[in-house]
Amino acid sequence: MPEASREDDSPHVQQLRAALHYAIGRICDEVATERGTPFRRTVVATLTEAALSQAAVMARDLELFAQHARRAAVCADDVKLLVRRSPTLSAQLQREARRLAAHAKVAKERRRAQRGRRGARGAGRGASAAADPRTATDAGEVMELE
Amino acid sequence: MDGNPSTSEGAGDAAAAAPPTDAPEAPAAPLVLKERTVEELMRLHFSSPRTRLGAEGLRLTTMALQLYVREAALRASDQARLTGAPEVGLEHLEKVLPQWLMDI
Repeated sequence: MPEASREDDSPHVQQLRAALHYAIGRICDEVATERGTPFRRTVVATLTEAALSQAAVMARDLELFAQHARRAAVCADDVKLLVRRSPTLSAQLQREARRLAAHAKVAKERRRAQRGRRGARGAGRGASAAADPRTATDAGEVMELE
Repeated sequence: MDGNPSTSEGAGDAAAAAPPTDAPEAPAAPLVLKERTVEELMRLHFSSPRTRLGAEGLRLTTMALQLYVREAALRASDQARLTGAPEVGLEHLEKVLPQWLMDI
C-alpha cells in the first residue's frame, strides 16, 4: 500500500498507533489473565500493525456502505454489514445495537414528555445529558421508563 | 444468550491452526479502546471529508474493532496452548492471522 508508508510517518499517525498499542496491550493482558498464558511484546506490536491495516479497510468499507445508502454519516446498519462474515461479532453487535436503539427511544420519549410539561407551564428547554447513548456503558444498566 | 460451541468458520487447516473461538456470553464489557481514537483512525482513511461517524456508528465500530482484536488474541492464545508453549509468541499469531483476516 503506497499511501500507507507516507501516512505512517506523520506524528498524528504515530499518536494513533500509540493509543491503539496501549489498548491492544490491555486486551492481550485480559486474555493472558483469562487463559493463563502471557503474550510476548512483539505479538502486541504485530497485532497493533495488523489492527491498523484492518482499520483502514474497515473505514473504506464503512464509507462505501454509507455512501451506497446516500448517507454522510456511518450508522449502526453499516457496521452490522461490515461484520456480517463473523457470527460472533454480528451477534454481539446486534445486541449492542438493540440496546442503543432502545436507550435512544427512551431518551426521546423522555424529552418529548419534558417538552410537553414545559409547554403547559411556559417555554423552556429540556435536553438531558443522559440521552447520549455513549454515556451508558453497561448492558446491565437499569433504564428508567416513565 | 445460549452457549453455542465453537463453530469453524470455513476452517481449512484445522489440524495446524486453532479454530475461531466463540466469544463468551458476558454482558457488554466497558471498552478499553477509546471512541475518540477510533474516530480519528476512521477519518484518516475516509476518502471524503463529508463522511462522519454517527454516535451509534462510532460506538459499534469501536466495539467491532476491540472484539476483532480480542478474537485474534484469543486464537493466538489457543494456538499457543495447542502447541504447549509457555507464552504466546509470533509463531502462534502468524498461524491464526490468515483466517482472522478473512473473518471480517
